Amino acid sequence: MMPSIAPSFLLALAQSATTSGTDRHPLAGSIAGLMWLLPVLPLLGAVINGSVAITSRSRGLRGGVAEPTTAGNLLVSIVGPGVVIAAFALALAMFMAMIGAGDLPTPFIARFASWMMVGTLVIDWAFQLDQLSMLMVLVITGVGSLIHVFSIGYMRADPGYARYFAYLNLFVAFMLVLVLGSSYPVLFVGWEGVGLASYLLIGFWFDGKANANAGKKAFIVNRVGDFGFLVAMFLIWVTTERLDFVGAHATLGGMAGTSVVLAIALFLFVGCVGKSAQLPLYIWLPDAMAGPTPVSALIHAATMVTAGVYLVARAAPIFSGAPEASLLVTAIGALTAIFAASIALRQWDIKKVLAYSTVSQLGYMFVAVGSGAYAAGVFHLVTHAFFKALLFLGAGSVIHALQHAYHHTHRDADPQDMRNMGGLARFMPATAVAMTIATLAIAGVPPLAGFFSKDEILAGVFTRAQGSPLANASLLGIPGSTLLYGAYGLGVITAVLTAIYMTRLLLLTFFGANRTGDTETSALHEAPAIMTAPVLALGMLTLVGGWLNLPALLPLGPVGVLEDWLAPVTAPSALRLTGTGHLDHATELMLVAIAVGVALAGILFAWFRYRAQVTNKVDSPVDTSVLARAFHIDRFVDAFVVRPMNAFASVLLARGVDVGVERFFSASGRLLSRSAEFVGTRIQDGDVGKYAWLLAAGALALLAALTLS
Amino acid sequence: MRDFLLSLGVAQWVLPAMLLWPVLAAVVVRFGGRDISRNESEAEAPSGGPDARVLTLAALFVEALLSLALWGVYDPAVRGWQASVDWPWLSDIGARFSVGVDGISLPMVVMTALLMPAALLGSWNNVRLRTPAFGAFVLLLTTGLVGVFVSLDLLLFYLAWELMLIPTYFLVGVWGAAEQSRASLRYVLFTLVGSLLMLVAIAALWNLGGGTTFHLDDLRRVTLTPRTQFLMFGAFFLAFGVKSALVPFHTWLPDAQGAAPTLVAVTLGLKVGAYAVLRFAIPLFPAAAAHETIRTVILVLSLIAIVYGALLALAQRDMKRMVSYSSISHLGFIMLGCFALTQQSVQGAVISIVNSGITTSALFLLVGMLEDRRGTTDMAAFGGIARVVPVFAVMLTLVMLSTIGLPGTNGFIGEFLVLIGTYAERPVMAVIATSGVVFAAMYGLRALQRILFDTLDEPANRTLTDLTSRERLVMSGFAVAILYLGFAPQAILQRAARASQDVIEAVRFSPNAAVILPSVSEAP
Repeated sequence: MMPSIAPSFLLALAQSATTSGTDRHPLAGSIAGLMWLLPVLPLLGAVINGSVAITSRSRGLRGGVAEPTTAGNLLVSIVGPGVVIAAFALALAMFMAMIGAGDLPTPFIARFASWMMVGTLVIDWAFQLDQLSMLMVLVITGVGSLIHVFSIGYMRADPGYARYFAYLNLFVAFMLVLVLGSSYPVLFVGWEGVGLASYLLIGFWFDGKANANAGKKAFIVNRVGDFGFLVAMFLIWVTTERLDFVGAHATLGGMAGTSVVLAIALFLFVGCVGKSAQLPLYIWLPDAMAGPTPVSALIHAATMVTAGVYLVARAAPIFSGAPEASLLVTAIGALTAIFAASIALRQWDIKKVLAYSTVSQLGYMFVAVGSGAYAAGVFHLVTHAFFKALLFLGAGSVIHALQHAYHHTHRDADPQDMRNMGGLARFMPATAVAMTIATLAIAGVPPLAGFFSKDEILAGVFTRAQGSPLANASLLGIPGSTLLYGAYGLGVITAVLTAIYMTRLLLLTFFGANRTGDTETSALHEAPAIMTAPVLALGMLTLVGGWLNLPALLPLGPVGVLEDWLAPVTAPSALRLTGTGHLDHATELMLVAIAVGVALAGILFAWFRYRAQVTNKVDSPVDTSVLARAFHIDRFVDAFVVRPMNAFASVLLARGVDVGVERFFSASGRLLSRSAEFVGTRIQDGDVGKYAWLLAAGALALLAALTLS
Repeated sequence: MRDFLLSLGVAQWVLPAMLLWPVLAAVVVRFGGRDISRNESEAEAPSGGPDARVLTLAALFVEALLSLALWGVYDPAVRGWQASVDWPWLSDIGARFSVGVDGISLPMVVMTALLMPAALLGSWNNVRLRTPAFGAFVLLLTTGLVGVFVSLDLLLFYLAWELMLIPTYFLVGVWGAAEQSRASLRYVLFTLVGSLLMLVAIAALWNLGGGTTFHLDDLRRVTLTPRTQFLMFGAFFLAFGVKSALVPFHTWLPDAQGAAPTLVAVTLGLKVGAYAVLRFAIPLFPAAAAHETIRTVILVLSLIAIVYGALLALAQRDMKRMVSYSSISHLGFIMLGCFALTQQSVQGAVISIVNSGITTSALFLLVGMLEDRRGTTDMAAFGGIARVVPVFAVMLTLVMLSTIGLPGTNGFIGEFLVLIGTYAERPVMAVIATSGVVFAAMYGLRALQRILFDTLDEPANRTLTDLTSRERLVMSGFAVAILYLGFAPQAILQRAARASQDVIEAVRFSPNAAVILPSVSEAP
C-alpha cells in the first residue's frame, strides 16, 4: 500500500511525525508524514532565489554601470520551477498512498511542534491531509508547476528574474500552508502569507506608482477581510476552546442553528469576501493585474483567490449549521457573478476582462458552496484553475508578443489593449487554439471542463430551490427558495454574459484584421515552446477536466468521481443543507438544454455584434461608458472612503486633536508655573529654611491625604 | 548548562552584577575612553585610551552575557522570584536592596540587555561627539532599565526609575538633533510629574505598612481601603501611563524620539511603563485595577490609542514620528491585554512588550541608518530605493511586517493573544481593537511604498550604500528574533505563564482584591 518511491531516510522522517488520536491512522507512517516538506520545498526555493537576487544585484552596482540584472540566471531557472515540480511529485506520491489506503473517513493529522500554549489555548504546528487538502495541493503544485515553467520564458529578460521566482516560490509555500493547516490559525498563516506574496508580486514592477499602489490596495482590502477572519477565530475559540478543525467542528456541529454558529459563519465569510474578491471587497482584484501576467494566472485566478471557496468548504460543518449564512454566501456569489460579468462586457484591456471574469466565476463557486453543493463548488474551482490559468497564460503570450513588436519599433503603445490586437491567430496559432478551447470551456460548451462544473452548480442550486432545508430557511425575510431560484436565474444570465464577453475577447484578439501597426505586424510571432507547452498542457486539462465529475445524466465514464472523493469531508454537511432532493430526468435534461442553449446564444450574439471592425486604441475615442468605467466604483471608494480617512487622519487628528492635546498640557503646565510664580514672589525671600519647611509641609499634607483617606 | 551555571553560584550574584557592572563601566568609559571627535578635529588635543564606543560596546556585551546566564539559571517550573538577592540597604526606614526576576521580568531583562549592544552597534556612527560621556550615560541608563525590571523593593524601584529618566534627559538634550531642548525638557516635565506622584504614593504605602518595609511582597499584604487604593493606583498608573505614552499622555514621545539620537530613541520606545503596570500597579491595588469603571476607562483609552496611534502614523511625513505613533498604537494593544486580565491577554501583553522592544527598535535603527546616510528622515526624500539598497529593503520589509502583525512574525503572536484573551472578557472591545490590523497595514505599507518603492527620483538616493557588514550583523539578529518568536514563542510564553497567572489571581484572591468592591465580571 506504500509506494516505494521515497528514499528510506525520508520515510524515517515521515514516521517521526506524531499523529493525533489514539487510533493509528491508515496513513500514519506513510509518505503523508512528509507533508511538512511540501511547503518547505518552495520555501527553500524562495530562499535560494532570494539570495541570488540580493547578491547579484549588489555586485552589479559595485561596477556602477548598467542596471544590475539576474535575467535568465541558470540557477534560478532550475531551482524556481524545480522545487514546485518536486512538490508536485511528492503530492502525487501522497495521492497514491491515499488511494492505496482505501477508505479514509477521518483526516490524517501530523503534528510537528507546539506553536502557542497559553492557558486553555493550544495551537500546534500541525498539518492535515484529507481528500479536500489533497485535491488542493495537487491543483496548486500541478498548475503552479506549469505556470513556473511558463514564467521562465515570460520573465527571462527581466532584470528582477531571481526576485520574481523568489516571490513566486514564497507564494506556493504559503498557499500550501493555507490548504494543509489543520487549524484556523495555521490556515491563517498561509492566508495572510499568500496576501503578502500577492502584494509583493503585484508591486513587482514597483517603479510605477500605480503598481505599488495596486499592491498596497490589495493587501489593505484583504486585511479588511482578515479582520473578519480573526474575529471568527476568537468566537470559535471562546465557544469551543479549540481552534483545530476536528475539535472545533465537533462542538460547533452540535450547535447548528444557534446564533453563535451564525455569527462565526458570517465573520468567516467576511474573510472569504476579501480574499476571493466578492462584492463589495472585489475592488482590489482588477488593480492586481498590474503584476506580471503569470502571477495573475497563478495567484489571481487559479489558487489564492479561490482560498475563500476552500475556506467555506473546509468550514462546511459551520456553514451548514447556519442556513442564513449559507444563503447569504449564495446571494453574494450570484450578485457578484452578474455584476462582474457585466463589467467584463466593456473592458478593453485583455487582462481586465479576465480579471472581472475571475471575480464573476468565483461568484459561481460561492453560489455552489453557499447552497451546500460543496463538491460542485470545488469542482468548478478545479476546472476554473485549468481554463482561467490557460486564458491568463495565453493572454500573457499575446502581451509578450505585442511588447516585443513595439519594443522592436520603439513605439509606445499599450500591449494589453485589445484594440491593438486582432488577427493574431495567424501569427500565434497554438496560442489561438488553446485560448479558443478555454473560451468555449468558460462559456459552458460541452464536453469541455467548464460545461460540466457550471452545469452542476446551476443544477445544484435549482434542485435545492425546489425543496431542501436550505429552501425552507430565510434571509432577512426572503424565503430561501426564492433566493435560490433567484441565484439560478442570475447564474443563467451570467452564463449568457460570460459567453458574450469571452467570445468578444477571442474575436478582438485573434480574429479580424490586425491592428497592432503596419511595421509591427512583421515582428509578431508565436511564443517560444517553453511558453506554449504549458498553455497546451492546460488546454488538454481543459478538454478532459470534466471527466473528474461526470453527471449521472451523461455517463461518458465513471460518474461523480470528485463528489465521491470529497464525500468524507463535505457529504455530511451537504446533506444537512440540501436534504435528499433529486431532480427528475426531464427537469435535468431541461436544465442542461438551457445551459447549452444560453452558451450558444451568447456566442452567436457576440459573433454578430463584435465582428464589426474596431480601430486601434490611439484612433478610438476614450470609452467613457459606465461599464467601461466599472460603474465608477473606484472613484466612489476613493471619494467616500480613502480621501475622507486620509483627511481625517492628517488634518483633523494630526493637525487638530494631537496639537490640541499638546497645547492643553503645555497650557496647564504654564498655568502651574505662573501660579507658582505668583505664590512664589510672596514667599520667595531668600530664606532657605522657609523653603525647606514649606517643602516638608507639602509632602506631609500629601502623605496625610493619602494615608487618612 | 543550568547545573554548570548554578555551580558557579550565578543565581546569587548575577542580578547585582547586572546592576553594578554598567555603573563601574560608565566610570571607566567616561575617564578612560578616547573621544573620536577630538581626534578628528586637529584643533583640540587628542585624548588617549581606547575608543570610548568600543569600551561601551564591550561593557554592554558583558551585560548581555550576564543576562544570558540569568536566562540559563532560570527554572521555568518554579513559581516566584528567582536569582533573588536581598541585602540590607537603608535599614532605618526598612528599604532593602531586594532584586529578583520572575517569568514576566526575565524576558524583559534579557531583551533589554541583548538590545543595548545591538542598538549601539546598529547606530555606530550616529553619535560621534563627546563619546565618552555618551557611553557613560548609556551605561547608566542600562542600569536604570535593568533596575526597573528587577527591583522588588519599591524605593529601589523608584531609584532605578529616576536613573532611567535622568540619563535620558541628558542624552536627548545634549546629543539630540533639532529642537532638542524643548523635546527633552518636555519629556522630563511629563515623566517627572508622573513619577513624583508615584513617590508620594510609595511613601504613603510605606507609612500604612508600618514604616518598616518597601518590599513588594510585604506591601501587597497591607490592607487598604478602596479609596486609598483608587488614589494610589491613580498615582502609579499616571506615572506608568505617562512613561509608556498612553494616549492622551503621548505627545512627548514623538517629539523626544524625533529629536533623540537613534540609540536613545530605541530606549525611549521600551514599554517599561507597561511592565510596571503588570508588576506594581495591578498586584498592589487589585481592587482598583479591577474596578469596573477604572478598568473600562483604561480599556477605552487603550482602544483609542490603537486606532488613534495608527491613524496618526498614517499622517506622518517623518519616519521617526511614524515609528513613534506606531509604537503608541502598539501600546494600546499591550494595555488592553494588561487590563482585560485573562491568561491569554496578559501573556499576550508580556510578549508584546518584548516584541515592541525588538520591532520598534529595529525600525528606529533602520530609519537611523537612512538618516546617517542622507541626513534626513523625511519620507519625501526617499522612494524607489529598494533597487539601490536591496538588503536594507528586505530588512525594512520584514520588520514592517512584524509591526503590522503578519502571522509568522513575533508581532502576530502578541496581538493575537491579546485580542483572543480580550475577546473572552470584552468581545465588543476586542472587535474594535481588531480593526487596528487594517489601520496598521495602511500606515505600514504606506511607509514601505514611500521609502522603498515608487520612482527613484532623488539623485542623492542613486548612490546610497547598502547595509554594511556591521549593520547586516545587527539586523540579522533582529530578523532571527522576529522569525524565531513568530514561529516558536513558547520559550517566552512558557516562562511567563505562571507569573501572568499570578497577576490575574492577585485581582481575585489577594488581601486587597475585590471583595469589598463590585466584583470583577469573571468572578464566579
